[in-house]
Amino acid sequence: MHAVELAVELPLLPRSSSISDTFRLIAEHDLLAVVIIGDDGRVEAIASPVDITRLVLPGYALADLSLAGLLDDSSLEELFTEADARTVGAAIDAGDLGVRGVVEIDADATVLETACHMVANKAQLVRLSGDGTPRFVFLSAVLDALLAARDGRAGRP
Amino acid sequence: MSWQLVAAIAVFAAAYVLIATEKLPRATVTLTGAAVMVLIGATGGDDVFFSADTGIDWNVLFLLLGMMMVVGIARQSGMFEYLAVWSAKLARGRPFAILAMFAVITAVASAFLDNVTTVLLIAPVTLLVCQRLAVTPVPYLITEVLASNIGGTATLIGDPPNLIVGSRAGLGFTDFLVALGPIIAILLVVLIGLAWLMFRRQLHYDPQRATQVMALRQRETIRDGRLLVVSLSVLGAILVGFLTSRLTGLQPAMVALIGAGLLVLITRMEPAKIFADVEWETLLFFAGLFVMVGALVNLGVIKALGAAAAGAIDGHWALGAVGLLIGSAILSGVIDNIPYVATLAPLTQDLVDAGGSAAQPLWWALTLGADLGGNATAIGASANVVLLGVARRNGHPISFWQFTRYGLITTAVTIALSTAYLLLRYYV
Repeated sequence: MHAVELAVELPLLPRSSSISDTFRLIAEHDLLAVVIIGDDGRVEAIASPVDITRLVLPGYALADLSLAGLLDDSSLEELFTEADARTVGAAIDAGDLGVRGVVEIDADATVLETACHMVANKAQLVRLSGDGTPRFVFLSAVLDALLAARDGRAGRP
Repeated sequence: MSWQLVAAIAVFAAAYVLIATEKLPRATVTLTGAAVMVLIGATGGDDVFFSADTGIDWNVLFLLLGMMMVVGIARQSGMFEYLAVWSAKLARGRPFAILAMFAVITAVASAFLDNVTTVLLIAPVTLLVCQRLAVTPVPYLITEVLASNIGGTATLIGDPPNLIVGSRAGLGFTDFLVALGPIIAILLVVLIGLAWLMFRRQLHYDPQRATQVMALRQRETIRDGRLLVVSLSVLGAILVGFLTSRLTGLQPAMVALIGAGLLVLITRMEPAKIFADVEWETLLFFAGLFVMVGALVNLGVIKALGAAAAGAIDGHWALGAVGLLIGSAILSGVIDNIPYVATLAPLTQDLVDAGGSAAQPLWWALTLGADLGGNATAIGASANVVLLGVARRNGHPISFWQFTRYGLITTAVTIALSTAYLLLRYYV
């Protein structure tokens, strides 16, 4: 089995989406990532839940975790108001989001090869290299495929 | 002039330009420059590794390494954040009182920690407090970095140029504190006054927002109580070690390394965490720089410049000190003060050797000028550059000229006061 057989597409969002809408979409659908596309349809960023959550949380608490203990629910409204006002496009322009950092893998990579790349990069998903609509392989799909392959070889049902 | 001399000066000048323009990582520049100096025969292995005058200054390197390790461990306790939040509450959430408190904390911390580290510690808590107060953090951040550069001037370990001066001149922690402590205390008070004049209109007091600051619970910032106690104890012991280094015969670098070792032993922290805050690039930058300057000393360039400077001063050491102070301030505003002081230190040593006790204050002139001059522009000191980056990343960009406007005023006032101090204390 090869990576291409496990690949799926992810939701595409325009640059004009607000940070909080993106946050909500990811949370409500348990997504591992969303793809941000520009006006010309080009992929401008691949945003994971960590990326989007980082944009909602106050930068000072991420820079200094000692301050995280001072945050409580009273800060939430202010944080989400800022997230409502900012778009993912603005975050891309500021360099807070992008396509870099997402591991790419060849479509004909074996499942074990794909698993090696994901573990080495601590990645929950990898992108298939190539043009066109971006397609991704999730770690959960890789685990399922590995188990299925092992069971198949052992003749288990 | 020999080809070797021309080549060495050209390499040195090119390195200065590359460091100033940041076209290449600065450690790459100085290490490459050092390698070229060796290849052209301007210096050699014995000089590089074993000469106190023309080689790598191991005192500086190991003092920096020790303090980086100590600070890297101690900062994880949350003590700095505790102090900052506590002081904001002590100020009852009043914006200017908090600004003054934070300026004092930053200056005092900078006297014992690297300025960049101090700014990275105070900036996040400032952003949190300003968000609660609904005031712009820009006046706070600018005042803090100015206070950091001022406070760092007070001690041997406060600013890297001081380490170079201390090592080259044989001056200890107490020497710096006694000579520069009084003027730095004055300058800090003056800075707070300047901040009032420059920023008071931007610091609006809202009692309702102040209650949000009062609601902060500083105990939440302490992530590891045991680490806090251990860090404070070891930092206290290191301070005692610095203050008594003449009595004990332990050089500051040894004190810092022993303190770091003690902290590592007691906390049993993972090596990866201990060394995470060690800036290896900075240490290598220093090593390369010392080799390049040593090459110029070997070739007699520094001696010739020193003789020319001594001739120009012609026994008027007070005038020489004022010239060195103001000149250093101007140059440090536009170029990195570390290579500047590394170059000027052997030259100043020649002048002090020639002038005796009357020329001794030149060391303080060089230190005050180089350290305080860093406040003049947004690129005058590493802490300024780092702070502007923090401000931008958190949605409060400070432009080059916005910073420089306040920086120039502060530098002009602090250098004028330092000049008066130097003349009154040592030449009247």
